[in-house]
Amino acid sequence: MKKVRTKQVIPLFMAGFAVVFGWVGVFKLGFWNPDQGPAPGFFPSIMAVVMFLTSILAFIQSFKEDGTVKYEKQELLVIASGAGIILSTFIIGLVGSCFLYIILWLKVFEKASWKDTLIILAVVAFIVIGVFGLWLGIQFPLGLMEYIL
Amino acid sequence: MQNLQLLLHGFQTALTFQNVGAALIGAVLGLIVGAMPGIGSLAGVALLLPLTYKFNPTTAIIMLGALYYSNMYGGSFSAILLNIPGDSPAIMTALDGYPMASKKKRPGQALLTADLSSFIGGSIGICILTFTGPALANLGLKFGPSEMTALLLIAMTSISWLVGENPTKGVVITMFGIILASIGMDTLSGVPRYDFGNMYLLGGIPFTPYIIGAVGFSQVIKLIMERDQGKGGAATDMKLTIRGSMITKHDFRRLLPPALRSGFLGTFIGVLPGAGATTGSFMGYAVQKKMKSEEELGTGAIEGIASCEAANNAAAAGAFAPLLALGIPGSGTGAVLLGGLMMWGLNPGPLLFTNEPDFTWGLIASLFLSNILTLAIAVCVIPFLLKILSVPVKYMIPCITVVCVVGSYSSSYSMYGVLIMFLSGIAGYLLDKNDYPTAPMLLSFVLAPLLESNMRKAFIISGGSLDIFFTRPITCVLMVVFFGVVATPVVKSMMKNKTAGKASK
Amino acid sequence: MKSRKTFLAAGVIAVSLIIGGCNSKQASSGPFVPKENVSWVVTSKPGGGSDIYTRMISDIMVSEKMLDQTILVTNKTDGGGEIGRNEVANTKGKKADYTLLTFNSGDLMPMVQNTANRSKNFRILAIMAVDKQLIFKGEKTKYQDFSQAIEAAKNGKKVVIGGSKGDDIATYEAMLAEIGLTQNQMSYITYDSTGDAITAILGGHIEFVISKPAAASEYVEAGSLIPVLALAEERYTGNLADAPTLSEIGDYKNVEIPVWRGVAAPAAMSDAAAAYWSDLLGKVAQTDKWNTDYLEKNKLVADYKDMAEAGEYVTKYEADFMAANGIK
Repeated sequence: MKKVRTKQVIPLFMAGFAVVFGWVGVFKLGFWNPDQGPAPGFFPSIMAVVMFLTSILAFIQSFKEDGTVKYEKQELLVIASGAGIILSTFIIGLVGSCFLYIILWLKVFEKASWKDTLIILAVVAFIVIGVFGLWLGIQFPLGLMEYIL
Repeated sequence: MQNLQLLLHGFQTALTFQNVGAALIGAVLGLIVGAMPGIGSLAGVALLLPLTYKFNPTTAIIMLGALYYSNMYGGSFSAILLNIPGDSPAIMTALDGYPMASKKKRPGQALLTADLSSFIGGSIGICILTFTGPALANLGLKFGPSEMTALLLIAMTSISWLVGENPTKGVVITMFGIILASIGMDTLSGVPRYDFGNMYLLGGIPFTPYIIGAVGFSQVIKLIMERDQGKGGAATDMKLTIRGSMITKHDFRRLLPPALRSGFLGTFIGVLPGAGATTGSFMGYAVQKKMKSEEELGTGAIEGIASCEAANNAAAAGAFAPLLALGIPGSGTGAVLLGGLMMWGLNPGPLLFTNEPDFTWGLIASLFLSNILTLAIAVCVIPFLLKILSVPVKYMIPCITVVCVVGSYSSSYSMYGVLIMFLSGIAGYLLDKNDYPTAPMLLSFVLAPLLESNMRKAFIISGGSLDIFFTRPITCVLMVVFFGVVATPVVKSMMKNKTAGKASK
Repeated sequence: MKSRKTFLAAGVIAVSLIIGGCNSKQASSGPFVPKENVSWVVTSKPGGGSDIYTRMISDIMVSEKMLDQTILVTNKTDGGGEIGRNEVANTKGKKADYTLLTFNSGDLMPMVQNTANRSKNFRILAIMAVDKQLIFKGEKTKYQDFSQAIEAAKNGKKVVIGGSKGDDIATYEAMLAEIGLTQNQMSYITYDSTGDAITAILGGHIEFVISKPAAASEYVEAGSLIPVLALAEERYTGNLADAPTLSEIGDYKNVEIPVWRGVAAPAAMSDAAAAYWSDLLGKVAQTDKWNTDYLEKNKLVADYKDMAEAGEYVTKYEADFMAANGIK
């Protein structure tokens, strides 16, 4: 086995997902009520069965497909930065994390000039604080700052 | 004829300086709100509602009507330019709009197509509303649970027309969307489903963050590989002016038939209780898929953009029919408008047309007005919008990421939304990498809950018997259509096999 | 122009927030005086009944100059509202004095049914209004009145009633128990809102609809809905006066499940602050605006209960509800 073979992992994951939902649907939620027709589990469990069967089919078919999927480091970096924003929100708040992310991303990763960084920061600040924050009146979480203020 | 007179009177009301101003402000705000992911028309109208309390009701509803209406335009902007639908009806627009802007290098034409078809669809919707308003609303009422079930079955099967080259993957992903949608409280039985003891899952997966993630954030992840190309979407050699965005006569001829067809279809769907603009734009697109298009849909075809954009604006207009004639909101946004009516001291309901003719006809006239105003504004902003494309991709990435985060937070004021956005972004990215189409997953997420609840309501009414789907005339016709739709490909492939078998002999 | 004004206003708020934030460090004893922005959580969508109720109260507080601070209403709809309620229940410290929650019977029911949260995790500041329900028939309904429908259901004809979630279901169940029918004889379809249920009856898809007076009023006026049963101890007045109560149509006891609208706060709110808010809500309940623009318009019963009374009332309501549904 070389790298992680997502081509096979995805259909397997889907099949597992279907098994869980189908099982809960039939045994926990109920399938059919003689007087009222379908019970809460009816619809999802039928869909889960179809999903399970097609996932298995997709799994078998996946071996015939050629070429492996390549994941680039940079793509993972975007995901990591998304996770970073979410985590740091709990410390320095949503707006703070977004600004910090932009500065870090542009300066460290893109090595952009300070001028470009500041311009973009200003545009984003306008959208986030101006449009969302002030005009639409959305309160953003402040993280730990809330306790300091 | 009487309607026409009333409409003229309505124009007198709408064409005062104050009301035109209100429509103008509404249109501009609607475009902005519509283009921001996370803030759909529902949130936009709700957030601006308090602003309008100071106006008289007619001015206020004109402003909100214009806002609601222009939202549908705004949603397509970000869908076409960035492949991030501003709201759910724009999912379909992105399918052809983004390829047309990025691969065919005709972003201006794509935007103009969207604007023009929105205008055509909207005009058809408003005209139908003007002449048949209350009758139309009554037709919508005829669609009970069994009729809606049959209609949605047709819609669900037509998702399969979108699945692309690998049908197996298409079905898997459609089912995945359906099952994700079943998480949360089950309204009919009042029982939590698939919440796995988690309080957040009790309310289900919030739709807006889910879409922003699956389409928007996953797009950013992919975009990073293109950032060395310099300018965004390779816009360098494009004419980014309004003249460079003009569509040719030939383009217009391609645009018109789908726009007209979707205009009628969309209006009708908008009238149905609970169907909404998303279903409208999807059905418009699905029908186009069955028609002949010059280029294949999904590769940046004008027909694709026209069919869904016209349908969603028509649906938005159609939704006003039950709202005004019966006081029934056709969508979440309608419900908020209804709340607004009550706050202004009007009583929405079957008597609104008779008791408040100034108001209702003023509103309808203002829809005509805001349709034209919005078109004018939307066309004028095209050059500015295109400037977005000249921003280097490497600068776009952090900006879009932040907008995705902020937008998904704003949809429900919680970090849970951001988390859902993030996770569905990763899921969308992984699925796309492995050639799973993501659009069916989003559409089935929207349509499946409607199908399920209507089907179960029908069964409760019939006491668990299947009769209800065949003894009612409209339902029966729709069911026949449904079986036709399901059977055609099967029969076709059988015929093919037969002839192929003969040929090989 | 409009938006610029908002910008300005928002700027002023931002500045005052910073200044206010610095000043509020000095803790004071004695009567509570609000020195910060107030955050008011609503656990349902903008534009809905609870939202209008909340914005009405906060609007009165500010416009009648009862309160110098800004009230920020946020709609927290995650987890069917449970997340918002849970957050408020767990708010501690000084913030607890500035957090309010719209809390109705329709919020309590799913909370008790689906989570471990109970009303004792909150401070019930006041109950502002009480509502009751009626059953309406549509133009296409086969039955003359509700007693005919009961007869039909007993003889094996299926009768379908539509309505919204929460309160409506509780009333429906209480009514069935009193009449002695099963859920299969007289079925109930839960719609997302009363509006959806009314849509269904206008189309003739269901026989009856259960609704509060306000939502049905316009349709009664137009003749497309006809009240057939008042689920109350006595008849309504006005255009709803024709509907008999349950005891009038047969050998039954009247069924009345009150639908109340209240205001709650975190359990950690200080006594001084709780007294202040409860008192302020009482003042709101006495204003003309509240009585004409809200209560009268929505045909609600004015029934202000202060902190002590409301707390007792909700506790009893909760205990009854849990007993009826077998929740421990």
